Amino acid sequence: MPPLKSAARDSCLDPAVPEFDAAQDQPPSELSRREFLYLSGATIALSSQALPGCTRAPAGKIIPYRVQPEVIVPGRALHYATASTLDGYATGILVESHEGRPTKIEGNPTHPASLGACSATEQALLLQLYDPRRVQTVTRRGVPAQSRELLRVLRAAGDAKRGGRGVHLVLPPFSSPLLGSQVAALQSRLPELRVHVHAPLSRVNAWRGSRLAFGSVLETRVDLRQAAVVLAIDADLLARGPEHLALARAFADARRMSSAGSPMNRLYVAETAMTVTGAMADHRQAIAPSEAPAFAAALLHELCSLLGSDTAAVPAPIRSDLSALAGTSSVERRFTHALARDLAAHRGRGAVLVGDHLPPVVHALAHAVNALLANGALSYAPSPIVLSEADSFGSLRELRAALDANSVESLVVLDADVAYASPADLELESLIGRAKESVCFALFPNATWATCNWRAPAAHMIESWLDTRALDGTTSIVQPLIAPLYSGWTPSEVLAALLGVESPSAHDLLESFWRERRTRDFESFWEMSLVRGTIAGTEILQSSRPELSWNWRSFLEPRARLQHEIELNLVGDSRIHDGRFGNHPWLLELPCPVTKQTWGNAAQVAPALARRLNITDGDVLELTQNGRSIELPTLIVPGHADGALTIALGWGQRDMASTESFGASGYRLMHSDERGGTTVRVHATGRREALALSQATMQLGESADSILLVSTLERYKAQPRAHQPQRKRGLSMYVPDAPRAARQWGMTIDLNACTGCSACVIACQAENNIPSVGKHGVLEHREMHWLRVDRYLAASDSAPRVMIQPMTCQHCEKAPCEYVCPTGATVHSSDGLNQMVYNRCVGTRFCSNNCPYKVRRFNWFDYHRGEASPSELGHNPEVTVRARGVMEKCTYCVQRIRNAEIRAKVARRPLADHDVHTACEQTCPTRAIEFGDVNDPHSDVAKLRDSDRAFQVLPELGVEPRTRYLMKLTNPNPELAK
Amino acid sequence: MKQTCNAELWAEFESGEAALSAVRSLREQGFASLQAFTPYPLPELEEALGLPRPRLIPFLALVAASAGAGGSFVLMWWTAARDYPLNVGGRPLNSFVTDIPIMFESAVLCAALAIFFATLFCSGMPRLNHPLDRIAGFERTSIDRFWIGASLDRQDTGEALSRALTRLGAPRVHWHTGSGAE
Amino acid sequence: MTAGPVEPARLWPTPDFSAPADQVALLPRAQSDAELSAELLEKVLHPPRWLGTAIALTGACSAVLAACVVYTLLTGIGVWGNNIPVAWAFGITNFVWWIGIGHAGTFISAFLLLLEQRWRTSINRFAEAMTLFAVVQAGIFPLLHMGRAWFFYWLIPYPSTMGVWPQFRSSLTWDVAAVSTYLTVSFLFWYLGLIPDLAALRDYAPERWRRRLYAISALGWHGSATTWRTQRIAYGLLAALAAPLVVSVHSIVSMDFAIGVLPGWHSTIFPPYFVAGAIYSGFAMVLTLLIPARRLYRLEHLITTEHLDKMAKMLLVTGSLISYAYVVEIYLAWVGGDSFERHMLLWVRPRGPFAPLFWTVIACNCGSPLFLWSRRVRRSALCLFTLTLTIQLGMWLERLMLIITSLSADFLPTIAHGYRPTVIDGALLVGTLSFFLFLFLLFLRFVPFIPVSELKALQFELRGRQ
Repeated sequence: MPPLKSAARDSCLDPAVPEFDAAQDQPPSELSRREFLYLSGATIALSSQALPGCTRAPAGKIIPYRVQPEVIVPGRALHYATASTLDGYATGILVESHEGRPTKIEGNPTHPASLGACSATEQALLLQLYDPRRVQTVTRRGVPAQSRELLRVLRAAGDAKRGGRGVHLVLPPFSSPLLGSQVAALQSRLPELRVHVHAPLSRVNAWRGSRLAFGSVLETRVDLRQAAVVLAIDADLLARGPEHLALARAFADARRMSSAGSPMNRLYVAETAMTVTGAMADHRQAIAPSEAPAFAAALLHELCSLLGSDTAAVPAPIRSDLSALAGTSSVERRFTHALARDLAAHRGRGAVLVGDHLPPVVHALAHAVNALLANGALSYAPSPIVLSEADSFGSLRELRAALDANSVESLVVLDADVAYASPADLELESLIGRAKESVCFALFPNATWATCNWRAPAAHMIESWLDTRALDGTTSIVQPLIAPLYSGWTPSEVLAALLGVESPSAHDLLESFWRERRTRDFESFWEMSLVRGTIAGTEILQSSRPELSWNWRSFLEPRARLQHEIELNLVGDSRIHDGRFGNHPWLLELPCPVTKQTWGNAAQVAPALARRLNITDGDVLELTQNGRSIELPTLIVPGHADGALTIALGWGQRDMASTESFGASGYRLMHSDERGGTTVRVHATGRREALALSQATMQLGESADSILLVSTLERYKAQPRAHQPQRKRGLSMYVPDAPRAARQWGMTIDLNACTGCSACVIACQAENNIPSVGKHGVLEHREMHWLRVDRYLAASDSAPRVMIQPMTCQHCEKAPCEYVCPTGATVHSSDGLNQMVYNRCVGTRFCSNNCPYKVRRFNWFDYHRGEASPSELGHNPEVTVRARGVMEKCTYCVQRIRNAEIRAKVARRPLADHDVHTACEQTCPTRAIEFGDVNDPHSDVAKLRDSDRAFQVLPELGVEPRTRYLMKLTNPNPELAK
Repeated sequence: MKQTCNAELWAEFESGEAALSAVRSLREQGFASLQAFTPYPLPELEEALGLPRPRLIPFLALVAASAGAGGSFVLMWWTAARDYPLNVGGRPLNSFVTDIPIMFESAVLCAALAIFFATLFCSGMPRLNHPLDRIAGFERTSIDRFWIGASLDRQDTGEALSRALTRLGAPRVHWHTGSGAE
Repeated sequence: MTAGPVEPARLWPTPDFSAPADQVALLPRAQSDAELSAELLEKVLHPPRWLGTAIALTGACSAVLAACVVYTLLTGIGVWGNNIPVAWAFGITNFVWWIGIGHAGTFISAFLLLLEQRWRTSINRFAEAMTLFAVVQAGIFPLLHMGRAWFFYWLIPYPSTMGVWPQFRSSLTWDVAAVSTYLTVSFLFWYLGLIPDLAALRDYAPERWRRRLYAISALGWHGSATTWRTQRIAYGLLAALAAPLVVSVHSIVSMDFAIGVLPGWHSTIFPPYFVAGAIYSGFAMVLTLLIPARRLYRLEHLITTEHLDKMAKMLLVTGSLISYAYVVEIYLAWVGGDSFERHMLLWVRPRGPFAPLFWTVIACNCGSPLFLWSRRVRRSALCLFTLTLTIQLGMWLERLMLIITSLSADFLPTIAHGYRPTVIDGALLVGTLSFFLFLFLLFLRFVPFIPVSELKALQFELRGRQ
């Protein structure tokens, strides 16, 4: 039976081919008895699986989050807990599954790095799973090959007799205990095996810094709830990094201002490019990358003089070096001084955090500052990342050397695009060919895949059994929700093959690994960890006060200021990270939270520099660094450090997206000795390129007050209601006599908590089957996002004040869109939803014209027609896929509301306050979005609605929006305010 | 139109002025029930013939207009407030103010249609043949000829009338039997 | 009496049309009824040679329209330049512009009839036909601009299986009522006046097939005094209905914008302002068609300089009304205290990205009519012709400017976005223009485009006056 079964699966389950093969459409006469038996056998084989219908049940028993059904209830979604891994650090997620099809990804509330939230990149894993451009077959030199042959090749490479001579293994950073043990086993089995970790955006500098400061690799962890004063030196802690979701939540909690009396922290940011964190800062200082050490030194120096005797620990030579280095700081002393005084004033309740890419010495200085101030918010613990202690971590120089020397017998690349995402001076793309055997396991046909002679599909996270750890060590079991669509390999399977295992199965490897470690009562342990998505008691215990060492003065020598040169600042992209999502339609079309650019990167410069170079937005620049050059359009970013130029990495990949490539690759300008800091030559080509910006201007007009309210903490505390616009309702001829339900849905968005990270945009896109329109579509302003994040700038170009305002359908009680619709296609529900009836819409677009918030979207073309199988499997079956020519817009996730209502009704219980979560609310890292019944005085949303900070957008129109916003507050340092 | 089975007398005139004076003098001479066919409207002639003012059409127009306005309002009120009530932008179900434009348009439409078809009916149109077409040269009525006529009683030979007509300058006088117009 | 230049002393000002001068001005050459009829009917029976070619040419260009319509329907509105926020552009502009042009015909026929302006006589049918065909063009765009045009009938109340009805608070449903009513009424009006002349053609035409054709379309008209009376009464009544209709239709069209909340749309002065604009562009279109036709058909003695002069004066009046409306609109925004509206009218339009558009509109609609103060300009066919073209361009651009400026930068600065038309947009415009001409030339080919009987009546009346 097995062969039959597999055959049947292929015929039925390869999404490329229809559910049943052509034979079935033919009259029975054509269907021979043999075929008939074959097919019926296949049917039995299928129905014998756990899931009914034509689904792809993964191997091994997987267990849903919280609820465990005997059988799948059609139409009832299940949530399975698993974890996604980025640069080795895990984020716990829940995957929603409809009849065995994963359809949505949400955060796992019990996971410390998620707390129920989810960033855009985790959300996007879903579409990536179904992407038809994935690597689907094993090929050898372009010719389809059997997995068996590949297995043989791997086992040969792993042959113990050869001792691993000339065998090179390239991995992404990983924290998986299983992989760790496998790698250890490999290294003992093959002493000459070389393992290279490929991590373009690794935390190596941070680890080196902690080595300087503490003598060992320690991860810095911070609890922002305990920090009254926070300084971030080029650290985008609210939007990037292993636990930014948790950090953002803590940060927001410290600023939520539930009452006028509640405390609020103060955030200082010194950074080069404007980041999400910088946008939230109460005080922001733009510094070029090379200025960071001087600035940190200046701060420490100030503190030494402020704290006096308490800083006796600082040795004299260090002091002198500090003052020398501090002298070179270009940051005006007023700022450093005020900052130091503020930190000193809040001794023990401050936190100084440093961006991963900054030189180790800056990290060391920060550690010193935190130690001197005895900042309790910070704690230190060994890294969960395996091999993080290795000096060569993240460096591919040895690999390059080996390839140069033609000493590479077999090169095995696991899910790491070394050819593309590596410093250009290594020239790996051209050198990989020198390896005798090169094997590449990749999700997508990327540059490395193209250069290796063995090319094999890697298993997607949602397809694989694995384990992984979060920053704090919490371990999660990665459980698949679907059998590999293209029989991809998991890393554990590849390593097992190298270790000589006959037919490795990820599930068995993982289970046996954990069975060894949890001997007693394994079954319940296993089930419990699968259900909860975390394994209890796996956290790494943290040492709050490691011994600080001062033997790093050699790093303190002032480095020559780069005069009249433009520094190159290469950063990870806020959406496609290091480029691994470089072909992902959702993420490519997601506007950058800071620049609002889509479908490409740009050369970000400060307005002052642009003026000096006499360039404007869209002017194509030729950027050259030691011989290599790329061309990018200019993008002027107010608040960017003058004298530096920022490029987001990960763009301009030709191989990965079978379509055109967008932007240009910053790796071409990257140098292998360190990231950023170097200089770049800029030359305007005179050509222009249209930037696909989702937002035309960021300037608020003269009527700013009716759009959003901003104030400072003092003013607000003085008169909490002063900012409430005292506008009285306009007269109306109309007295609504429509029936009103007891429940009235409404939303509040706290502008004080919202960081503009844009996770909600992708959550909405995934939940509501929203298509992407491509670069051309964005240029024509035809984005389909139901939810957009508006960004306004005030104050000066050099030090702008940023205001973020997520904007979606406001569900006005007197909706101007409704009365202009000639067919009644958009009407009001009795529970206060502004409904859009797609079937009734004829597409006059009058509603969009008359919407003062312009949140309605029109299907200019048949956007879903071009969809290649199997992408459509990812659609949410509870939301209509809209046809050409109809309007659409935010529905407050009406499908979720009705679902919750039905559940409550079936359970014969009233609907509780938080039974309904809209997609955006659910994924919001800072819980800025609150949704619920505004009629119920006890609901959180109702309380927020009549808080002092609540306001309507465009109140003078009298449309009575159901969505209210909470005023943004800043907490400036009085010393610097004046 | 009333049919007469007895003879009619028709005279052709070459100018409106001639026809007009002819009718006027004939009426003075006491000839009643005169009829005329002209290439273009001659209000004076109509006065001279003493034609009644048609009251039907204006009346119909009024009725149709009110029916249009009323009907359209009922339709809008019933569909929006009774048959399928929906909360549209928080407006009242029966928002009379916004019904006014359509009520006006419907009134005009119905009135116009009523007027047009009433006109056709009153003037016996459409009709594709006409007894007077048998008179040679009658087709020039639509170009530049004017015809004055009267139907004769049984005992009347029409001599007097024909003499009168010739005296008034009619080039030709036709005896025409068979059903005539009106 | 002979035609030719007439001294101003006698003509200007002459409000009293009973003066014999009027005859000189309006019907310079005294003709017998036979001559007049012959001349006018011959023009239909034996059209000039160029007409056939022109019809073929415009017909071919109309095919472009058909092609673009099909392409749009099959592919989606995306083939136009529209976007969010600018969801309306060329389509609605064309609609409003055509409807406006369609107003002149009925205005000339109805209003001038009620005001007993005799000079309307020789041009009214011309104008009415122009109206009909303009409204036909206007009808195309509201249908085509819908995302799902094939469901246009959902705007009409009918008992549907879904049990739903149109939403009558929307000005778009008002449009449906207004435009369809307007089309019907102007057709009835036009046809009622046309019947006697069709009868004349029936009796005049040499070929049998023509006689048949015109016999059927004349519905058996024989012109008895009673029928004439009924027809005149009915004609008067229709005029009395059409006059307010003209005003209502464009008022309703203007509400497509006025009932909206957008700055620059939400304004109570729109109805009168749009009606004035409509008649303005309409008269311009009548002149644009009349001047060449008059020349090509050798009709200077029927459509005289006097006619041109009077129409030019109408242009001057309506043009001034428009300019006044512009001033009031801006003034209201200035003193109104709505910052968004002030921003729109005092910054976006005159100084924003669409400023060139705005100033062209001002130049065409407010500047060019000033020339009409000069009598020599009013009486020179060539000058008038160029002016009318400018005015029509101006009015079209005005509609476009009103629509896209308000949409492109309304309340939230973040969604502000410009607009760039596509080739399809342009092709549709060209196509609809040629389709209009095509229909109009067909009208010239088959219908007596100068009301014969009315002219004869006028002649009779004027003779009587002397």
